[in-house]
Amino acid sequence: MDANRENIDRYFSKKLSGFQQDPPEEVWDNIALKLHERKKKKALLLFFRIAAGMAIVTAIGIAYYLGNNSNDSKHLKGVAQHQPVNTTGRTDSAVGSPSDRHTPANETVQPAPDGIQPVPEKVTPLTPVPAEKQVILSNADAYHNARENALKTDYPVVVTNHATGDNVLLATAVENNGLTPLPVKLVFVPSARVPHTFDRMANMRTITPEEAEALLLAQYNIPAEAEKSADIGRTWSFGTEMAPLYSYRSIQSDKSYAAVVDEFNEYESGVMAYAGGVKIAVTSGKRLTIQSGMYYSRYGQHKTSAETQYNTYAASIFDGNNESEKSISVINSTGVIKGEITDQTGRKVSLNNQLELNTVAGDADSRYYSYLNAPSAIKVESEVESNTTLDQYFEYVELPLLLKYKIIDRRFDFCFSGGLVTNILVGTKIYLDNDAIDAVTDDITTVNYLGSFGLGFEYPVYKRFAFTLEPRFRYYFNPIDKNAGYNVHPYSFGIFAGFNYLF
Amino acid sequence: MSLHHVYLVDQLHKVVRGCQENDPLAQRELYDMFKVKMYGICLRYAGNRDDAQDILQDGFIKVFEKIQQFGFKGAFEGWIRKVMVNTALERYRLHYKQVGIDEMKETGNQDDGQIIADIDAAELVRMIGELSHQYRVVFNLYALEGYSHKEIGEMLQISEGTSKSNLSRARAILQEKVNKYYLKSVQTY
Repeated sequence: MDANRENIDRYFSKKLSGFQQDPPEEVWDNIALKLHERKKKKALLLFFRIAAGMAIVTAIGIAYYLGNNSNDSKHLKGVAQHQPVNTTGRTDSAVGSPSDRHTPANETVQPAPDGIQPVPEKVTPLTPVPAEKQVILSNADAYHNARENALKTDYPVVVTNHATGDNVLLATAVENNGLTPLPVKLVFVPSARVPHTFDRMANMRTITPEEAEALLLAQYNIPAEAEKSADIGRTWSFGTEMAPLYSYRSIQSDKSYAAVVDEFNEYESGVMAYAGGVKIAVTSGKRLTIQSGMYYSRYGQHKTSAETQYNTYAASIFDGNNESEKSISVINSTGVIKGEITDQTGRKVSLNNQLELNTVAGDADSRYYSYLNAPSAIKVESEVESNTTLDQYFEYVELPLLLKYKIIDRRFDFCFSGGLVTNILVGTKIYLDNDAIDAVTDDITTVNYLGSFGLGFEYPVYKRFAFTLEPRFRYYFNPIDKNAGYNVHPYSFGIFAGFNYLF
Repeated sequence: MSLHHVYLVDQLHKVVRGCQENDPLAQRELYDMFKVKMYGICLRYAGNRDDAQDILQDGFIKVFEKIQQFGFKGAFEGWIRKVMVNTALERYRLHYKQVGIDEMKETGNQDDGQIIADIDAAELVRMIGELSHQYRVVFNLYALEGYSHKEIGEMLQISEGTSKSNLSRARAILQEKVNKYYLKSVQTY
């Protein structure tokens, strides 16, 4: 019998070894069309990669630029704070002697009249500031920072206009008891009249902040636009947010896979998942914000009536080992899910009365046995359970880059947001009938690019804290599967809620 | 190796290099060189012409996408053939594997009949095409491609025992079909 079986193998093999047939021409037409489409998709993917790269570079550039500006401002603030007497330019003589140029850390400055307090005893030694930086900062930013500083401190603050060499003295007035700072009182002192000591400040006229501002702006030749820009400023914020997500997928296919896709759609459905993480944002001007951060997210889908194949490797039959192993495989739209389960799961398998059992080790011989008559020592080879439920989740680390444009800039802000999210697969979770199993899905794309679109609300709740709420829709630009005939694009909808801390 | 053979190999390699550079003319030339052989393979794995054409189409797209990986170290025909077989298996897994136990409902007598009929290759392909999906795939892989049961088990995610029993059933069914065909042709004449 075996000889005849091998004969039939040889017969078919011999007759079919050179079997050829000409396919219809339309096959090539389809191939050419698909190659063209894929070329376009590759170009699009390349575009997204370049866009993501450029976005990251741009974000880093903006952060670097703003960081530098911020450092410079702080630097000037430091200069302002620690120069109770002017130390630069041609006005040295006007405010103290040249020996005062680098004020020692523990130097005490004589108290000034009119409530103006001396510099505290311990002052950090000055770090020389490059002239060009001082020039850059001698603008609206410098003025505003100095004024802010004056508000916080109880000692005189001097900044220098390097273009003219003039000094500007900013100071806070303190009540007679010396404890409670009054609202800022700015004193403008042209260089020619800067006193050697603060004694003479008693004779100076105190001007209103509005007057001082007008004088300062004039002194620094600050153009109106720069003034406006300074008013607007830049704000950094840091926060956290998370969202419940409804996630599912769309499938794009050609007609030959339409039936397969219909079947997937019939049994598969979306699931609730979640996403959350930390965000950092910088707002430039009143309306535009760039936001990035790092998130963890879960996407997934549910499948009912999943046909799960349990393959039992009956080791005892083939190699004398009494232990057996089970593996499972399930097919869904994203591909073939493969995993291992053990005998201890206690899972009931829907058995057909007619099971195929191997009875002879290493022999191709097989027979049909009634399940009831099957000897218990013989292991079942393959079983299919057709009514399991499957939940499949993909876990990602996400790096978003979002642009937000504020439409309403009131106490209750409202904005549009959109951008690109780079999404890196870090794990998969598979549940069969709600039991987690150790399984993987074949051929899943690990780096993905998503488009994100949302409508954001922001409401300040306490000082620098603001509550944020943003319904957001996200869609995978690239397919996550590598199937030949169809492409799976997950998407999700979630309401992100969180807090921002402004600094 | 004859000069003519060397020439053909050289020509083939030029076409492959063209495909590696995504040259559309080279792609068409490669398709023309292998389409009849590969379509023959596809027909063996598919149950019908439509499926065979889909496999051929998907297989060639894979060939063009993965052709960068061909390093000119082995025979190109073997490489492209493997891509086609893998495409057929992928399609089988996706479309038909879950019929599972249904495969076993198909019956056939295990006659010891002698193979004496000289049957046309296309007719044999038709007979293979009438097998159930899993039997057809296992028979192709074992009897015509030369894979072992262990390899088949890994490729189809089934056990070796299942592969063996599927092969056995496929052989029996084909034997019966061949015998019937032979008897019918004898009666006709």
